[in-house]
Amino acid sequence: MIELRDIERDFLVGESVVRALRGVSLAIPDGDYCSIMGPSGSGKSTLLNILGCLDRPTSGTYRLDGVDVASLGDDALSAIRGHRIGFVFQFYHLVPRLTAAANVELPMVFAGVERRERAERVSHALASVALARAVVMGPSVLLADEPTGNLDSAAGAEIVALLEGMNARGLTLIVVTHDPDIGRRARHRLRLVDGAIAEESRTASAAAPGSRA
Amino acid sequence: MSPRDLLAFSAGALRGHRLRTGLSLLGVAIGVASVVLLTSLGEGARLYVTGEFSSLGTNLVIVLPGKTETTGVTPFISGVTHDLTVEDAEAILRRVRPARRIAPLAFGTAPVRFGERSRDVAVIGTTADFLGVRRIRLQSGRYLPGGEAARGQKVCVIGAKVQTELFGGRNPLGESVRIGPERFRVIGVMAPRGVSIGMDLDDMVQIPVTAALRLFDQSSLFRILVEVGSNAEIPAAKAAIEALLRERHGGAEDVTLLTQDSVLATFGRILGLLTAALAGIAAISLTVAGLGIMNVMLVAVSERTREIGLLKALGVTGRQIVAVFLVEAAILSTAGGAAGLAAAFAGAGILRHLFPSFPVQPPAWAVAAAVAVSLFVGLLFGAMPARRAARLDPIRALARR
Repeated sequence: MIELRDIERDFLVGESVVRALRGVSLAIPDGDYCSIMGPSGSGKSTLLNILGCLDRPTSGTYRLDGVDVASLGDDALSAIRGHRIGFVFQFYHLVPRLTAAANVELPMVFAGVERRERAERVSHALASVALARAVVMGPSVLLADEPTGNLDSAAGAEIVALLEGMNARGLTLIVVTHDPDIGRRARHRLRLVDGAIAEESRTASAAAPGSRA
Repeated sequence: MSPRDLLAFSAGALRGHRLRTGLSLLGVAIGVASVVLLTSLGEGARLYVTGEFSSLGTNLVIVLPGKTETTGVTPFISGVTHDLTVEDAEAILRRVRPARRIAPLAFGTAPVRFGERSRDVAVIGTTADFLGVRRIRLQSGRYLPGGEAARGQKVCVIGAKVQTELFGGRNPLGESVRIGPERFRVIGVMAPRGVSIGMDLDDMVQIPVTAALRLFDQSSLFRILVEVGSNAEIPAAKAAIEALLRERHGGAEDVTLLTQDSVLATFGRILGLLTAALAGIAAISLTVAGLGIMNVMLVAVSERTREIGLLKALGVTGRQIVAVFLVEAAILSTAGGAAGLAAAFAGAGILRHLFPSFPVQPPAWAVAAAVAVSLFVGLLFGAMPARRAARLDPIRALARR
């Protein structure tokens, strides 16, 4: 639960004071999906920085799960940034000298997560990297061999969602899988037995393959 | 964060800038190597000089005419300086019990002539015992004869260089050379020895002491070398010689007694100072290397500003960021120190190989000090950039393009 009350943020630009936020009050319940829009200079980034505990308000209170953030010291704020908040930056801010896997691993390294657990969690993220590599050339057919084989069900569902998103944009998607739940999701299903197609079925769908987006 | 992860992260950051890392490693390595090598040169010089002196015999008391120190003796007694004579030397041998051998020395420079060739050389007037006292080896012939009667004989022993210069390939034994206005018969040639404590014995001629005093028209000896049985007898011998000469010179304290110990101690002090000075010079280069580390770390901090901002946004604490940069500095200085030590030991080995008589040995204290100082310097100069990194404001750090 995020609660903001009368948040103001002033910046000193040269001699003059610029008010980036003037008395923002809002509540965002857990599990909410909230968008912040507005012209540039309207204070969107400033608000996001305050929500992310990267910046402190000039006045007003910010309560995260009932705790007043202003009362916390540097280490407690670091802990919040490390464990409670994930931040996707406008320019991604990937560390160029590190591999994709090492970039994903970075916060876990500093949080002291065990090596083995780190490797496991990183492998989830690598599935999306593999997917990005497969589609970066703009192919028209996407083949996936056991895409969820090494993932737990939550991560598997994410990858399936990504794959189906590609399909919705017109990519032909062919998935080999053991998992009947995933197999069942496809509109066109094949079953191979002894090297021959034993079963073929189609779901009549309104969303027939359309033009590519 | 485990130490292993910290080390891996810092090492990875250093690997990302190979040239810069390499150059600052080189700086530290040169600093450490110069500390170790220069101090081992200083130590080597000290050992070398000490060795030279003990080869000359440590059981030696040297008597010089005249008193070099100011003393409290009233001018009525010490007003006259007495000559140091051959008789004084004989009296020392007779009456100072620890005295085993004595060598009175007269000294001068004269042209030595054989046929058409002439050469200005140092001439030492002495007695037969000089051979043993000064550990002289002969190449051919024999040394000055012993006994009182022989002191005025017109014979000479020539150095190896004098032989080649005046006689070329000819055998000089039995030949007659002209030293100043007088003729001397060559009875021996010394083996080549090289320069030893400022004296080139190869370019000298030795003649009996009385003949030398007459030749140079001197009344006083240049020096008397007194050899005693053992080092432990030196203080007793000194006191006895002092007493004897005071008595013989009518109560005047007009001689100076030197022992190898005091000469050795003086040289030891001078060369110790030299070593310290060399170590100081080397320490400067180590400090410069430390500044190099600081420079590298400062550049790293400003170049990696966005990375630092990102780390903060990811929940990394200021202390962890300090640790990352300090570990980087520590890696630079220890790796550089290790490389410097390797270079120094290799250099010392090469020097030992080139100059076998010169004992170049890196002293243990210098090795320990160089390693400790390089690590200390690395951490000291790494601390400032690390703290600067930790204090960066994450938003501004991230906004830096």
